[in-house]
Amino acid sequence: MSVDEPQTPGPKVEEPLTHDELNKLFADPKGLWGQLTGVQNDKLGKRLMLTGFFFLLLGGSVDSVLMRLQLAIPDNDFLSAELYNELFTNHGTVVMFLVILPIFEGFAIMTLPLLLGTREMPFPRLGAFSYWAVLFGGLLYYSSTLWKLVPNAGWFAYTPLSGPEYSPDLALDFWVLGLGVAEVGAIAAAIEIIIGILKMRAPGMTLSRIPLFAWALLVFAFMIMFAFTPLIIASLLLELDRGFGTQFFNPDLGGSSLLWQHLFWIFGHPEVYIQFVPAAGVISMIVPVFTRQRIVGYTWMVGALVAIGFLSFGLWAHHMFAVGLPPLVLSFFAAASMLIAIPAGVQFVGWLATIWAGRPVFKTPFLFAIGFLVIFVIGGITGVMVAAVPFDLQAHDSLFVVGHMHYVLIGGVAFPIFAGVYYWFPKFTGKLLDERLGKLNFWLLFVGVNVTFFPMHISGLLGMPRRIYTYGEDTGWGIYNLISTLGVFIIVPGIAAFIWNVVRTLRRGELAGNNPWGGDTLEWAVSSPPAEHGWSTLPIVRSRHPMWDQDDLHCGEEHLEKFVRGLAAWPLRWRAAVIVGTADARPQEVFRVAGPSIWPLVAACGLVVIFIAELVKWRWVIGLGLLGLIIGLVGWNWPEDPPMTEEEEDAFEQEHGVPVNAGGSVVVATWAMGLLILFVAIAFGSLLLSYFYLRLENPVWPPPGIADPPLLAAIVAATLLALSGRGVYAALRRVRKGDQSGFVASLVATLLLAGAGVAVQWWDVAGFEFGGTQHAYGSIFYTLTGFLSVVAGAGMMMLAMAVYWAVRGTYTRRRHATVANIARYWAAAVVVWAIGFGTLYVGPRLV
Amino acid sequence: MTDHEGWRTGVGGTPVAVDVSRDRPTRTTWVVLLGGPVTWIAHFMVVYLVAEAGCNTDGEGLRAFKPPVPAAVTLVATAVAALSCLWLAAWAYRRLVEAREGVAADNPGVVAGGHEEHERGGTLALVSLLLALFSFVAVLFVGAPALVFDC
Repeated sequence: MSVDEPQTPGPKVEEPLTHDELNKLFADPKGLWGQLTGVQNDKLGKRLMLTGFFFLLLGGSVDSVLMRLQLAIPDNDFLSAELYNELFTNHGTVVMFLVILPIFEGFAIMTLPLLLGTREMPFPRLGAFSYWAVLFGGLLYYSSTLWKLVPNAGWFAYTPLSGPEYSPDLALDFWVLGLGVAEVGAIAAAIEIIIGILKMRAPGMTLSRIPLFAWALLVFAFMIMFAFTPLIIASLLLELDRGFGTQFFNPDLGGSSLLWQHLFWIFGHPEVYIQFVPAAGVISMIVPVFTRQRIVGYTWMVGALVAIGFLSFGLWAHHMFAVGLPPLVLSFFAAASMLIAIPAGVQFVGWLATIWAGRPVFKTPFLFAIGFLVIFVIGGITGVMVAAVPFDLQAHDSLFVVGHMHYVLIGGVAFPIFAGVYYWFPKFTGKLLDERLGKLNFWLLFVGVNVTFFPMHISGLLGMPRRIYTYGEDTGWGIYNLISTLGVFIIVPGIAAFIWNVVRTLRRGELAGNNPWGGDTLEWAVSSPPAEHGWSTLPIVRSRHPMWDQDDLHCGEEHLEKFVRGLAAWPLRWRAAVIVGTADARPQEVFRVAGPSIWPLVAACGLVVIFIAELVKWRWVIGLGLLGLIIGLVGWNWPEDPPMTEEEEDAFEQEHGVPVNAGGSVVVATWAMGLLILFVAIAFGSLLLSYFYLRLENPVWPPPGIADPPLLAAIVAATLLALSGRGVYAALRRVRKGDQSGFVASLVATLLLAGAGVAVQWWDVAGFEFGGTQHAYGSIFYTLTGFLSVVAGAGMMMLAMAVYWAVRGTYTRRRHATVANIARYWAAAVVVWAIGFGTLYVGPRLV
Repeated sequence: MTDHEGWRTGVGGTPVAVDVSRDRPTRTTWVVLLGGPVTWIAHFMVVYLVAEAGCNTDGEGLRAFKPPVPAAVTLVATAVAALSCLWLAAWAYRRLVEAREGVAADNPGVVAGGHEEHERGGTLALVSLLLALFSFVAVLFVGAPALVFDC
């Protein structure tokens, strides 16, 4: 293998005369209004990260100190059992939902445009909505403390403990509904991240040249979509049980408490890797820079990230080894759980080989990377141990698992977060964090973490269960618990050193310069802190390490050079960004990125009002929240007059060969619609899995006394919906031919057919004699019906808005991307409808 | 302005954005890249669901899943999925060889794995090959217990 030395000084970076104008164009408004309407990616990223740290300090860390004090000595009465239950529930919940996720999404939104050589994220308003949702969800969850209704059923909220019988007060509703809002925010950010990485990169940054951090974030964002959506469905079912009397998790009436465990861990286990994968991406950025060595095995690393993303979805039942699953099923999950050590190991070999081949420079970010390697490998090995069923049956629910989990999450996630903060802090503040304080921070944490969590393996093997608030002196666990507690008091000053370092540096830190670490990736080419628009002249990427290999960041094929220079000078009236081909990174479109807007905040407020109304059971207020959400979404997407004519767009395209869509991108909108459909499909799949799981749990289906649903009306409804699906494509063909009247007529016909189909279906369902609360069959029947109606209702709203805009002449032969996207959604809705009602009506006749 | 089908701009013949999803080479790249892991997860879900239906439940309509059906389905599904992974690996290998041969033909003496090979999709072909082979091993590893347990 050839080892090329990085070149210094860095490549030439152009700063054209338009820099200040572009900077002003991409800046958010000043003052409070600017804070409420702001969409700039640096600001949103910082907000997400600070919010994550805020929640960590508020709950995650204080809880752990109190719990360790309680367990320090046997028979301690410092905390009551009830308070201890609340603390461990809060600790797990906050860290898993409200800390690590927003921090990594913040990292992503903040760094990606600079890292990938683009000016903004694709949907700045979606990013803003995501932030507000995470903040409001977290605050809603935390507000339980004000009412002394802190959830106490563990971060996994197992049924029946979390169900209406054993948790009748509102504490669990805070858990379900507060986190529900935050989960929506997480998915919104994931959509933003996926499209940002796949479609918004510098010309020339092919898939083979994407930094590993971006690959990791791509996998991370897809995992969020596939993991959080089932959790939203699980939360919906739990809230229906708690608030509406359905029977999903009540075994006496056809439900299954294990259904909750399946749905929860389909989210819960990938969640660990959702946290680990971006952390691995951070390490893959830092190790090469501080060893002055290109990453060894880039290709293998990419494969490992993708493999982890898939495999992590086949491990969920290893959290359920003790529930009585059949041996064959146990062996499937044990095998998958062991297999994931292979891609994780591949990454380790890559990092170690890079360090071995390079010349390490032990700055703080690199120290944290080393700490990660040491601590995470211990957590990984104990993970393989608990993947073995016989061992897990011994260690299950013991402190051994707590030790394992913290080695994974602190070594595998917290250390990379610290590494990333030390690494990118100078880029986004312009100041270098203090090295001496950084090293103090690292060593205190490294020693403290090992002193705290290693003894837990021993006390766990000695039989100490987790989640007990005290223990007897005769158990022999006291010394190990005392050592663990002492360890916490090494960690606390470590965290304090970090906070002091940040505060001190912001006040009087050393200036950083553009590239203080000699980094190889694009973000180090721009000023520290960067301009609002990041890049005036987009870079042309010709290497995986552009800062090391290129002598001019804007040099490349002639037409690309002309294109990026042309874009630096034009347009200056609207925020232009570039879409590139997914694989080849050739410019495909210049489009207008959305600017500041109050509507994302309005939509997030509407969303949280819905959840609060359900929490306090003021269900009439749900309608108000829904109205706020709809008004927010409509206002957010209201068509604006394009800031230039089609002729002006054509002039740029004639000059540079790249189409211009000043009215807004059709490419990223198409991708967003694709991901929305994916979200619907995952949610639908989760409900179908729930249906079939409940079916398997019931020997007779439907239960005695309920007949199979009659087919006729469902067939009529599905036929009407199918016809409407054809209608919307007829409308699309007509607008493309310039036939405006035919276009409007087809859209109206589509809407009428859809409305008729839904009405027939509802008329049929309204006639059934069974309800949704007597048996799990009725619960899943009406819930699935409701879901399908919501999917169809959302489509009909889109169609109604399209009719309104079509009548006003908004759509033309050239500018009709919205209609194309609505057609895609509606086609998907029709397919989902057919499968859903096919399952409900035909399913009972088959099995 | 768009042409009569609405797929291309009238100015430079550049595909308009609504047509971008029809980028076939990119789609093929993703299919080969993700084919192995998708096969693995599909196999996993099939064998798990059949085992869940046959080993953990009882009742009318579920008798078709009773042992030895779960083990038999697992073995058959494992064989099919493993062969699929091998086929995908062969496809990825062909793409890798094509990328390397293309580079070698145009640039005699160029070392394999270099910049030119990345340009022609060699990197992603290699990732695809690795993922397909790993998926092959993973499918066999998950399915093998059916040789021992019937439920």
